[in-house]
Amino acid sequence: MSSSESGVTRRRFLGGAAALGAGGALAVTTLGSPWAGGDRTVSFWHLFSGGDGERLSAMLDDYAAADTGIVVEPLTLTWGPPYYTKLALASAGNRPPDVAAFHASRLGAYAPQGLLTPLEPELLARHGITEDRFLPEVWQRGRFEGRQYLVPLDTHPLVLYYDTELARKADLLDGDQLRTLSGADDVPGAFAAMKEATGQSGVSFEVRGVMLWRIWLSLYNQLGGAPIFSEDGQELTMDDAAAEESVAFMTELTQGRQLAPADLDYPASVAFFQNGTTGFMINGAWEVPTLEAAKMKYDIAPIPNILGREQNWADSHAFCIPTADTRSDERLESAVAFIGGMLERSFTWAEGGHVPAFQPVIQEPRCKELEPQSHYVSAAENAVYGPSVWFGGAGSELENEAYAAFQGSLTGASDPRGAVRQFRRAMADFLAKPSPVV
Amino acid sequence: MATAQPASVSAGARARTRDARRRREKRARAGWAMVSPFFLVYLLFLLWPVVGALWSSLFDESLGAASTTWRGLGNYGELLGDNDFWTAMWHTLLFTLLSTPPLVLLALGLAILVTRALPAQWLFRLAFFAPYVLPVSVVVLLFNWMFQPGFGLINGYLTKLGMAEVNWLGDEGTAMIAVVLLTVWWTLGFNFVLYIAALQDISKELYEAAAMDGATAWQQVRSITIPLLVPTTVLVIVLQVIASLKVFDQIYLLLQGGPNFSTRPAVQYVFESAFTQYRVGYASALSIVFFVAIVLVSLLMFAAVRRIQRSQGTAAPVATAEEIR
Repeated sequence: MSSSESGVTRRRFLGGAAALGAGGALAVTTLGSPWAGGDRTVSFWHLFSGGDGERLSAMLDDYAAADTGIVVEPLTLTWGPPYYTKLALASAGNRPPDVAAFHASRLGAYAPQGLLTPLEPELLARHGITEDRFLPEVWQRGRFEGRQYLVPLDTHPLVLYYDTELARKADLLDGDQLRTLSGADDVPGAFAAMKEATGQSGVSFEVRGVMLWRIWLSLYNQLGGAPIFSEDGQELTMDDAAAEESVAFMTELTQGRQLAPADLDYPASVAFFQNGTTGFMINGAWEVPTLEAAKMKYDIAPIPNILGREQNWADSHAFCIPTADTRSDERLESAVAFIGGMLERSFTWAEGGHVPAFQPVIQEPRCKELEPQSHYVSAAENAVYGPSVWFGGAGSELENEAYAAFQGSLTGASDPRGAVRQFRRAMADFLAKPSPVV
Repeated sequence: MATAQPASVSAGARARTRDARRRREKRARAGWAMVSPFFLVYLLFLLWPVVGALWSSLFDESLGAASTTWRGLGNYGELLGDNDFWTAMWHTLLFTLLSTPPLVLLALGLAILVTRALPAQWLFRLAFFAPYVLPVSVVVLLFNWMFQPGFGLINGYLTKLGMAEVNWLGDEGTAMIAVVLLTVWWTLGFNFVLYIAALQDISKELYEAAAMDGATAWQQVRSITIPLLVPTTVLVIVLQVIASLKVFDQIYLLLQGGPNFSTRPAVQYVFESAFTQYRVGYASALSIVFFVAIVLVSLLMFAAVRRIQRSQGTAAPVATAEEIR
C-alpha cells in the first residue's frame, strides 16, 4: 500500500469516526437523557426481570391505558449491586430517573448520602398515599431520621414451598395443606419424611448465594438473638451463641442428616424442587410465577417456628425519588402520581407472589382468595429485615460476606464456629472503615 | 582569508539554511498536528484520570453527595493493614503464576506442531485460534456448564475414567484452577499466532542444511527452532504476564470472586470498594498501589529482557512485535 493511499484512507476514516462520534453524542443528548419530555413525563428505572418483569409491564401497560396524561419511560436494569451502583452514580451525577424501584433494606446506605428526595406527607396525600393505608412496620421501613423516603410496594418474605403430591405421599398434609410444623426436631423430621418420599433429597435451597443469609437471619431471630448492630450502626452486638446455633441447624441439614444438597446454586435449587428431587424448597415468595407457569402442584407455608418463634426474613420493594437539583415541582408531582397509580394496580403484583403493601388492595376479596398467596400472609407480619447499615441491604457487601462465611460450614469446609467467627471479623472490618455515607 | 568569502555566497548559504530550518519547522508542526488528536485523547482519558485518581486518593471521597474531607495518606495507611486487599493481590499474582507457564509453553508446542508436523495447517491454525475471538461472557457460560457437578462435561469424563467428581466452582481449592483452565483454552490463540508468525520467519534453508547433515526432526527443533524463538518467547512472556495481572472479567462472571472470596482478584476488590461500597477515595488509593505494582513488575521484566538480549545478541523483541503486527 502506498503512503498516499493510506493517508487518504486514514483521513477518511478519521472524518467518518468524527461524524459518528458527533452523531452518537447527539443521539445520547436527545434520546438517552432521563430529562427528556416535559413535566408530564416520568422516567422510571427498575430491576425486575422474569416473572416480576412481566407483571410490572402489565401494570405499566394498564397505567398507560388509563389516560392519566402522564407518559412513563421505563428502563429495566440488572438486579443487585450493578443496579444500585448505577442508581447511585446517576444521582451523584445529577441525572437520575424520576422514580426508581428500591429495596427497603438499602435505605440505610442511600438516605444518609442525600441520594433520595424526602417525600412530604402533603405531597403523598394528594395522590392517595397516606400512612394509614399501609402496615405500620412496612411503612416504617421507608423512614429515615423522621422523614419518609420510600413508598412501599410489597413485602416479599422467605417462605416454605412444598410439592403437594409428595407431601401427601410423605403423610405431611392436614386436609389439603401442610400440617403445622414446629420445633427443631419436627421440621427436620418432616424434611426426612420428604426425603423418603422423593427417594433423593428432602429440601432444596440456594447454598452458593445470598439465600443462606436470609435463612440464617430468620433462624437467628427465631432464637431471639440480639440485633446484629447497635441502633446507631456503630457497634457489633451480635449474639455469637445464637449465630452459631443458627448456622449449626443449617449445617445439620446439608452435612449431618443430609436432608438438603450442599452444592446448589440458585437455578439448581429451583430446578431440584420443580423436578421432584426435593419436596420442599426454601426461597422467596417470588418464585410463584415460575411454578405457576410450570403448572406444578405445589403450595406455600410460612417458614415454620423452628428454633423458638415464628420469624422469617423479608424485604420490601418500594418506590423512591432520587435526588436531582433540576427536577421541576410539576414533574415531582407527576412522579408521585405515577407511584400512586402503581399502588392501585398492585393486585397484579400480588399475583407474582408478593404481599402487597397497599392495604386497600389487600382488603379486596379477590386478593384474599388468591392461592397460594393467601396461605402466607402471616409471613409479612413476622418479617425481619436486614440491618440498616451502610454496607447492608439487598445484594450488599454484608449479604455477600455472610453467605461466603456460612457456605463453608454448609459444604463441610469449615464449621459453625469458624463460619460465625469469619462473619464477625468481616463485619468488624466494615465497622472499622470510615463510613462513606456520613 | 576566511573573510575573503564573497558576501553573496554567504548570504545565499544563510538563506538556504534558513529555508531548510523553516521547512523542518513546518514539518515538525505538521508532525505535531498529526500526533495531537492522539495526544489529546491520551491526555484526556489516560493521564488526566491518573492524576485525578492520585488526587482523590488523598480524600475520603464517596459516590454520594456527602462531604469530602482531606485524609492525607490515611487511605494508604488503611490499605497497608487491609488483609482483604493483600489477599486479592495474592490471587492476582497466583493467577499470573498459574496461567503464564501453560499459556506460553502450550502455545509454543502447538505452534511447532502445526508448522512442522501436522497436515492441513490452516485447519489447526483456525481451531487453536478460534476460542480467542469469543466474548468473555460466552466462554464463561460454556465453562459454567462444563464445570457443573452431576451433569457437567468435565466431571462426566472424570467419572467415566473412574475418578471422583470435582466440585470445580464450589471448592476453594479448585476454583482458581478452573479459572486457569478456562483462560488457557480461551486466550491461548493469541500467543499461538505470535509463535506461528515467528516460526515462518525462520529460513527453510537452515532446516535443509541441518537435514543434509543428518539432524533428526527433534534435533532440528531443539537446535534451530527453539533458540531462534527466544526473542518471541520473551515478548510473549512479557505480554502474557501483563495480561494476566489485569485478570477480572472471567473471574467476576464465573465466580464473583468466590467461593468465600478465594478467587477475588485485585481489580475486583478495587471495583467493589468504589462501586458497591461507594468509597471512591479509598478505591483510588488501592488502584494507585496496584498500578505501581504492575509498573514495577513490568520494569523487572524489561530489565530481564535486556539481560537476555545482551547474552543472546538478538534484536529487541519489541521490534519483532512491530514486525508481527
